[in-house]
Parts: sequence; C-alpha cells; structure tokens
Amino acid sequence: MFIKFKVNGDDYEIDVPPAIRLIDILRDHLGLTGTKEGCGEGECGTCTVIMDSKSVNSCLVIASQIRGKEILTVEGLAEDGKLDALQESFIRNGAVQCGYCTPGMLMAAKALLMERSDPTEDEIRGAISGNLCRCTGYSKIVQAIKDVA
Amino acid sequence: MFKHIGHTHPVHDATQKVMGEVIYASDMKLHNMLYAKLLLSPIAHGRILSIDSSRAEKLPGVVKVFSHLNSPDKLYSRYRIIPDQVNCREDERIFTDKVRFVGDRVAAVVARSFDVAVKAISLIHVQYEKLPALVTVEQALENKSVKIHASGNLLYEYDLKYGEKEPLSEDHITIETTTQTQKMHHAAMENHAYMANFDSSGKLTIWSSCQGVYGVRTILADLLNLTYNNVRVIKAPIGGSFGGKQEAIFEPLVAFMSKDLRRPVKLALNREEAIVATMTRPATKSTITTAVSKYGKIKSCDVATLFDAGGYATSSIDNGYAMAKKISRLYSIPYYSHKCKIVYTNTPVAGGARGWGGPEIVAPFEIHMDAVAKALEIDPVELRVRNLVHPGDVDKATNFSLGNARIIECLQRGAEAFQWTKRYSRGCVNSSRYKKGVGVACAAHKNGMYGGFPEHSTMTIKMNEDGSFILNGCLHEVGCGTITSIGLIAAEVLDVPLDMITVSEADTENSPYDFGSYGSRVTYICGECARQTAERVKDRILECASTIMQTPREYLSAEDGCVFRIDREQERLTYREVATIAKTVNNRDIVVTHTYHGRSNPGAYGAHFAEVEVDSGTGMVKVTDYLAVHDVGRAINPGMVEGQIHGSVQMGIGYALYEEIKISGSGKVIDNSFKNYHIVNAPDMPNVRVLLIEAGGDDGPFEAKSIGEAATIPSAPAVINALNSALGTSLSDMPITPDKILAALNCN
Amino acid sequence: MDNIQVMTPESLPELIDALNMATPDSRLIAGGTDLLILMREGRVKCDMLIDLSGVGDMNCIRAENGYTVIGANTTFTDLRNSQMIRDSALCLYLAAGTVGSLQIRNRATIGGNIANGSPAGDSLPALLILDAKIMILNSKGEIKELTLEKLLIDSGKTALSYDEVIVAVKFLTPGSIYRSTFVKIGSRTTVTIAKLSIAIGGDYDVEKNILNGVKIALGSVGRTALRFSAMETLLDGKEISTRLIDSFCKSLSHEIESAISGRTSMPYKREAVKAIASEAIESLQGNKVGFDC
Repeated sequence: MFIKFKVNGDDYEIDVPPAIRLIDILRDHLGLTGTKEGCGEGECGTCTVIMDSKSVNSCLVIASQIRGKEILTVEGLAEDGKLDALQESFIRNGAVQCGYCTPGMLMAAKALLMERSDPTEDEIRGAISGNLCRCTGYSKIVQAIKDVA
Repeated sequence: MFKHIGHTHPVHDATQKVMGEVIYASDMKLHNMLYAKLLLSPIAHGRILSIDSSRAEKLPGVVKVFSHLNSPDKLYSRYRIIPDQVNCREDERIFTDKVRFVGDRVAAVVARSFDVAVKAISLIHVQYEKLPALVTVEQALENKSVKIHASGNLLYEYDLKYGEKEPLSEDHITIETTTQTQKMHHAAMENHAYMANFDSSGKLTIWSSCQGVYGVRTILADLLNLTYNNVRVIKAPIGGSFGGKQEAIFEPLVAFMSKDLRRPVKLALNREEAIVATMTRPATKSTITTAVSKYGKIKSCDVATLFDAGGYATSSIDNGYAMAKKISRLYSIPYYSHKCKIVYTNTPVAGGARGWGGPEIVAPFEIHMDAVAKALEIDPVELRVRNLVHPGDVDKATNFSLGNARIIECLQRGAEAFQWTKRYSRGCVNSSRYKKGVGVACAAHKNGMYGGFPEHSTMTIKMNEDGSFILNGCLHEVGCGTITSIGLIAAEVLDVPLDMITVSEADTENSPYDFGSYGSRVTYICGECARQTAERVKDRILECASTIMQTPREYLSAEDGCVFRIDREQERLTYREVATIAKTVNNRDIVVTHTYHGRSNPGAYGAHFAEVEVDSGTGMVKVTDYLAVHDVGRAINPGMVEGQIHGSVQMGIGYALYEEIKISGSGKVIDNSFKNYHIVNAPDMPNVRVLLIEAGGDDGPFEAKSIGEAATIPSAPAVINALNSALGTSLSDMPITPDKILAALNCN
Repeated sequence: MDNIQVMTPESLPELIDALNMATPDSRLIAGGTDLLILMREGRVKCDMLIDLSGVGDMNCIRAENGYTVIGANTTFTDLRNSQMIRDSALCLYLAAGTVGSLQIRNRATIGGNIANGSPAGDSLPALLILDAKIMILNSKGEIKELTLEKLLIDSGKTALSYDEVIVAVKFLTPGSIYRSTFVKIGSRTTVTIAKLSIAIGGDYDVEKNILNGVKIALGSVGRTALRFSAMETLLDGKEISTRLIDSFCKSLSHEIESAISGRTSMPYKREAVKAIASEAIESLQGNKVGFDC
C-alpha cells in the first residue's frame, strides 16, 4: 500500500504492507529508532508518538491508519539541534536515567502541554499513566514537566 | 567544599537520551545481519522427542533453524564470571533436549528478516514426552523420583550459624513468623537484546546490554572453544537491568549462532520472553523464630528458608547463601542460624535481582520485627533502636567491620522527620472504610564483594595534549549515573571541568579488567580506583611540570587545570602546556594504570517510613507518604542518589502490593504480559522524601557508600508494616493484594 | 502481519462494498487497541482487515429525535471531551475515563469496545443501564438495531456476523433528573482491566431521596457484562436510607456469590462489590463524581 504521511515535518511517501505497525515504519523504514518497543501491546508507553496532536502507542497503529496524518516523534522535538524546553527540563531535573522510557515519556508530556498549559500534578501523572518507568519513580519526570508547563 | 562531587549532574548521555539518539542493542543494525527468533517450551517439564523444522527451513528467507540437534551439548553456567568459579552449577545447554520450565530454550530460527523468523517458528513441530511438572518447592522436595536434573531436585542446602545460644530464661518470649516472597520480574523497560558477529578472522564480537563484559567473555570463550583474546564483549547501552541482565542468559545462544553462520545475528526479546525466559527474582519462604527479652533485645534468631531456584541453578546457590549474610549486618544478634534449602522447580529461572537476597530476607525479617514489637507492646522504632548495629560494630557472620554504620541515626532522624510518634498508633483501627497506618523498616546492604570474592579494579587515565583526559575503566552504566560519578570523582581530584574527562564503558578489548556491576561495588571500589588513579595522574602532571618549570615538585600545586608555584603563583602552566611539552619536548607521557584492591566492606544503611491508606471495602492500598533516610557516607551526585531511591521505592511498592509472576498448577506463567503484571505507574507513585546522612568514615571515594540496592531492600516491608498497622492484620504472603486484604479483614 | 490485506473504506457505501468482500477470517479494525494484540498473540486468525478508521460518518456524538447517537468510531477521548455525554450520561463519561491510558483512549473506539465483547469491557455496564441500542450495518446495506444485551453472547463473542459492523450506538437521552454513575476496581487505580465494575442509574427524586426506574449492570461477574434486573427492584422507588443500601449490598453480594460460585475470584468480588455498590449509590445521592481518573 502506498501511504503518504508526515513525520517531524517531513513528507513521506512509501510502499509498505498495509498492516505493518507504525512503530516498525518509524524504526525500520525511516531509521528513526528513538521510538522504542517495550511490550508491543500498548502497556508500557515506550512507543508513544504524537499523531494529529494526540499521544498514541505506535505499536498499535497500522500503516493504513497513518495516511494523511502528521506524526511527531522524539527526533522531531529539537529544532536545528536546539533542544525543546521539555528536553532541557528533563536533563536539568534528573528525569533521565537509563533513557529507555524517555522518548515515550517526552512525547506523552509534549502532547499534554500541546493541549493545555499549567496542568496540575494529578493531570500530569494521568497523562503519563500509560508510560512506565522502572528507574526514576516518576517524581523527577513530573517535576520536569511541571517546570515547563 | 567540593567543586564537582556533592553537586547534582545529569547522566552523562542525558542529551542523547532525550534526543532519542542512543543506540541500544535492539536498535543496532549491521551490514549483512540476520534476525533470530526463539522457540520456547510450552510445557513445564518434558523430554524433546523430535523436532521437525523442515517446513520452517523451506520458508524463503530462513537461513537456519537451531536446536539441540545441531548445537553444542556442553553444559555451562550463565552465572560464571571467572574461570573455575565455585558454586556455579553447570546445568544448562544452549538448546536443551529436556525442557525444565515453560519458556525453556528449545529452538531458534535465524532469517533475513524478523517477520520471516517469526513465521518460521510457527512451522516448527516439536514433540514432547510430558513429565510431571513440579511447580512448587514443596512438590519438588516431595517427589524425589521425578528429577528435574539428574543430580536431584535439592540443588543445595546450607546451615550457617554464628554466636552462642543462651538458654532461655522466663524473661524471654519466642515469636515465630513466616513470610512468602514472590517471583518478581525485573521489568527493565528495555527487553534483553544482543547482536553477535563472528567474522572471518575468527573473532567473535558481541554487543550485549550486560553488567559484566568479562564474565560474558569467560562463558562464551570457554563454551565455544575460542581464546579469550578472540572474544570481544562490548557493553551496549542498557535500558535498565536491576540484575536481570547480569547473567549470560542469551549471549551463548546468539554467539553460537553467529559463529555457526559467520554472519551478524541479532536477538531482541519481547516482553513475554523477558518475563518468562530470562530470570526472575527468586520466590522464597522463610520462617523466622526469635527469642526476645521483655525489654526487646533479640537473643537468638533461627531462620529456615525454602528458595525456589526454578529450572536451572544459575546464581541460586550464591544468591540463596547471600540471604544468610544480611541480617547480621543490620542487627546485633548474639546467636543466628540460617538453614536453607535451594530447590529446583519447573518454573522460570531465578537469578539475582536488585538487593541480591536482601529484599528476600529483610522483608520477612522486618515484618517479623513488627510482630515482636506488637507482642511486647514496644514501639517498632524503639524496638529496632535496641537491636540495630552501632558504628564500628563487627559483622558477626564474617568478622569484618561494618564501618561507620549509621543506621540508628537514620532511624532516629527519620522518625523525627516523619513525626513517627505522633502518627503511629497501635490498636486504634478505626471503623471507617479508609484506614490509615504508618510503618517502618530498616535495611543493610554492602559495598562490594570484599570478604567473599576477590575485589579489585583497574583503570587507566591518560592525559591528552590539550589537557583533557580519557579514563579507561571497565564500567557498566546501567542508568544510575555510574559514568558521571566516576567522571566527577576524577574531575574533583584533577580539578578540571567534568566535560574535560571522557569516561569509557566496558569493552573486553580495550578496558582493563573489572568484575562488573555487581554487589554494589561500583561506587565503592571502582570509584575509589578512579580517585586513586586520578591522584597518581596528578602526581605525574606535577612531576612533568617540575621538569618543565625546573622547580622542585614540592613547590608546585595543581588547581583549576593549571600547575603553579605555591610561592610565586604567576609562574604557572596550563594542563595543556604541561601535557604538550611533556609529550613533544621532554619525550614523556602522562598515563597511569592503577589497580585498586578493596580492603573493606562496610554496611550501607537505610530506614524507610511509609504511610498507607487502605480501602477496607475493596482492599486497594494507596501509599500516601514516604520518607527514605540513607546512610550514604557521601553523595557523589546527590540528584542521582535521590533518583535511585525513588526508583527503589517504586520497585519496593510493587514487591509489596502488586507484582508477582504467578505460576499455574501446570507450570504456565499466568502474568506473562504488562496487561496483568502491573508495576507501579505515575498516578500510584507517591512523592518520596529523601534525607541523606553523609557521615563519611569509610574507604570509598570521598567516603561514599552504595545506594542502589540498599534503597530497594527496606521499601516493601515499610509498606507492608504500614498496612498491617492500618488494619490490625499480620499479612505476610507477598504481594499483599486486595483479595488477601479482604480475606483477612473478613476473617477477623 | 506482512501478508494481510487491508481494505480502507472512507464512506458507508464503500464500507458496504468492503463487507461484501469479508470472509469468516476477516476482521474489522477501528482503534486497533484490542485486535492488534489478539492478532499478535495468535489468538485471532486473520486474512483481511477492514480498516474502519477512515469512515468519517462513524465518528460523531449528536442528539437526534430524543436519542443520543454515538458513532462507532468515537474514541474514548472524544467521549471524555463531550459535554453532552457528561451532562446526560455520566456513567458513560466516567467509564470512558477508565479505559486504559490516555494513549489507548485516544485510539480505542466505543464500537470496538462493544464488538470485542469482553466481560470486562468498560463501556458495557454503562451502555446496558442506558438501554443502548446498537446499530449494525451488513453487507446488504441494511441497518438493523439490536439491544446491547442481545448482542453480547459470551466472553469475547458477540452476535455479529463476519459481514456486519457496528456503525453507531444510541440511547434515549435521559431527562434532567436522571443520575448515573460508574465505579470500577482493577489491580491498580489506573490503566487496568476491570476486576469488577458497576453502573447504576435512575431518575432521582431529591426531595424524597428515591431512585425511580433504577437500572443496574455489572462487569466482570459473568461471561458478559450483565444487567441485574432482580437487584433493581430492591432499590426502585424506595427511600435510600443507610439501611437500604446495606441490605441492597448484601443481596447483591449473594447474587455475585451464586453467579460466579466456582471462580477463584468469587470470595474477593463478593466482598468488594458491596463497597463499590454503596459508593455508587452514595454518589448518585450526592451527585458527586464517582470513579474518575
């Protein structure tokens, strides 16, 4: 199936099996390995990307469903090498340890902040409830998001 | 006081991580690579009668199907770090001919694409002769005629004792408690992944997210009959390990297949495989009996443990034995005995998990302490104060000093900060639906392996011509900030900005020898090695500067990346000048290799305080407040110390309340997915307050001690003690899930 | 997944065409959050997917002739963003907020939740008490209506034939004195499959403290989500005293005990149901939001 879609502002037109997962398109076809696979079933959130302004698990979206869509991945956060405020906040607040949950966490946070400014702590924790982290205990991640909100 | 250490820094590759630039093993691509997929046993115990892979082999894109039919039958232990290591029962094969747990390695397909490999797996037909599945330790001990391994189901047994048992006076009571701890999934966000490449020069290179490259090398080289110099193990970036990647679980398999095919082979596990087929925290059952005086002094303690090793031995002998060495680091008990049976079962394989025996025995012990406190009507904090070790005490089990053991200070300062006395009440369980309670737990861990295992580390620091440095050690960054900490230590000594020091990661071809990230040794041993090596480099710099400046060494000092005369400060050279002139004019180099030998193993201590709110209608537990107090000696990187504590508590709450790899009667794993294996997520995680006690006094770098494992150990019992306090119950069958809570409440 | 064909209708006529190509081995995919996992686990065989996500007509929430009509492609996030749903069908609003994580809610659809037919499906108890009717399109282009109760046959099984698709859900828009709520227990507070859930609704007479026309449904206590009509009479038209709530909960507990008597989860659910039922009733009285996330 020929599909046309945008990733990080770039236009793509590729021919892929129609039921291939978005995560595989990103990682294998486009070489964007920042998006990770931690469970393949929408539970861990490491595959989170933003599609049409909403956070989604890219392991549960198939090719036919991304036609005409605009997708933002972790690679699209920084502009010309300048880090996004969220990325800087994560670094500054010690919200990064092993880094495996980080891309998905950033995208979930970015989607939240795209939708509302000044979220409460509960809203932040709710927005990342589908992003598991085993290293940080979440507090510094929540603080990092709060700092930017 | 310090320029670099004692200040918070991010992990060294934080920028790359937030950019999504770090290439983990599963992200790797090599030219001409192949993809592997595993076929794991669907039954818990059985002999493989036949494997028909003909249809799989015919599938276009399939390169080869491997099984016991075409792989070495040499037995090995995935736990072995050094040649001839004791307590490494060699009982596994790359591919087994007898399956011993659901998830055992039956076969693998290597294909040109991952999708083809997956499809091919479904075309392999395996016939098994089913054998009775012994899924509990009790079953395995009872059914001696059903042998999981030829050596019998009892893998190992020990009976450790120290001290003198006093005859019991009337003044004593005896308390007995039994606690079951469960199999737990390490749940690193990154599932295990490897890339192996056997090239035409006869060299094997393997990228593995592992905690000890030299251990992996030992196993692979010996197993595949390669000389050690022809096996290169490169530590890949790790997306979390917590002990789950510290044994060579799949490296032998991937390495063998690559060697056979002479092409790069990648194996990346999915979550189910990581839960079932790698390793789990061991399930244990401990009965603790103490004789305690009315004043609350423990006079004697007898422990009997059953330890579930799962289908293969791996580290279980040492891991089980480690349980016996934990309590004596924490409490001063005149007589302690620990009997333990370490037993094979037809269940997923047990292995080391953060705390390495600590959580498994300390959770039961801290629950026991609360039972003692309840029986004697003594405040739980006070009871512990009366029994905890003091600074300078000797560990009665090993006769080594516990160093500046500040656990009592942790407990007392913590109790004050937590307002323990005000919040703790016994016997006032109110009648409302939501019941609150507080609990406390203490823990001790160690700093390295001195006393039980050789303990040394070697590092090289070389100075570049421009005054920057490269520190070459065999370091394994697991996400906790190791590289940064080592860099900070060196930066502090050399007095240069952190970004002037590059700290390399483990690679057997380039790194000096080091045992790896085990036993909480990295800060204490590797960190001190880095400090001493840096001191020696500084000496060398001063020596070279002395020659260049024609000034006695004693007149010179190094500060801020410069060397200057103490009496005439304007006479100075930058590090760059020293290095360049030394190398190019004076024909000398500034490079130091130093081996540090550990010579002590103090305790690392923590006291945790938890408040919970239990919904007695549904059994759901919410952790509403948490304070962790830790005796860390010195916090090299305080923000990361906090981060380690936060993460430890997340793991401990899961251990206490949610997480369990449950096994059915036939040996199947019931919780084989994050859909039903729940780890604490952001909404359920409390903010953890941290209080650090930095009293120094031991041999670590700038007197630092370990944290990552020490913080995991007290967390589960703090939560369990809090909920038992809230409900007036004595629950100890971990995890304490809502159904167990309601069952207990409805019994009362 | 490489060899699976995917049809991508973008209108109802195209959807009918696609249904004509369907076979017993083809599947409908909307959000994909249930189906893709089942396919990956090998629990569902599939040679062709009909991707519904492009059928724009199926994504809507509107009032029509006294009914609230929700298109099958409406996501749970859409439901959470709907003032109409929040005002008139709070039980559904609350249930929608408990579905998975935000990432899941952004994709999972109400049509998919119904068609998946899980006994733990979060929207189902709410839809049952709303007397929801399911609009089903078939390959002949006919639209038939089926009550949700008739549609849910067994665990994971609905009455849908392979050439039928849910296009919308509708229920009579409740009046202004209608109150409803939904309470769920899982293994943790958020992002969890329901271990037990309850939806209760009725017209609440504030002065007399009476619920009229009470409807009660539970999830995760049977092969499908279930209406508990016998329980409804215990509450209906009676003054809601503490005593009534107490005796109601006890009776409900006995019902659960017999409904799932053989199950290992019975002792827990038999007790926990009392807590969530009383919580639900009390929230109806106080018009408090019950379980929210």
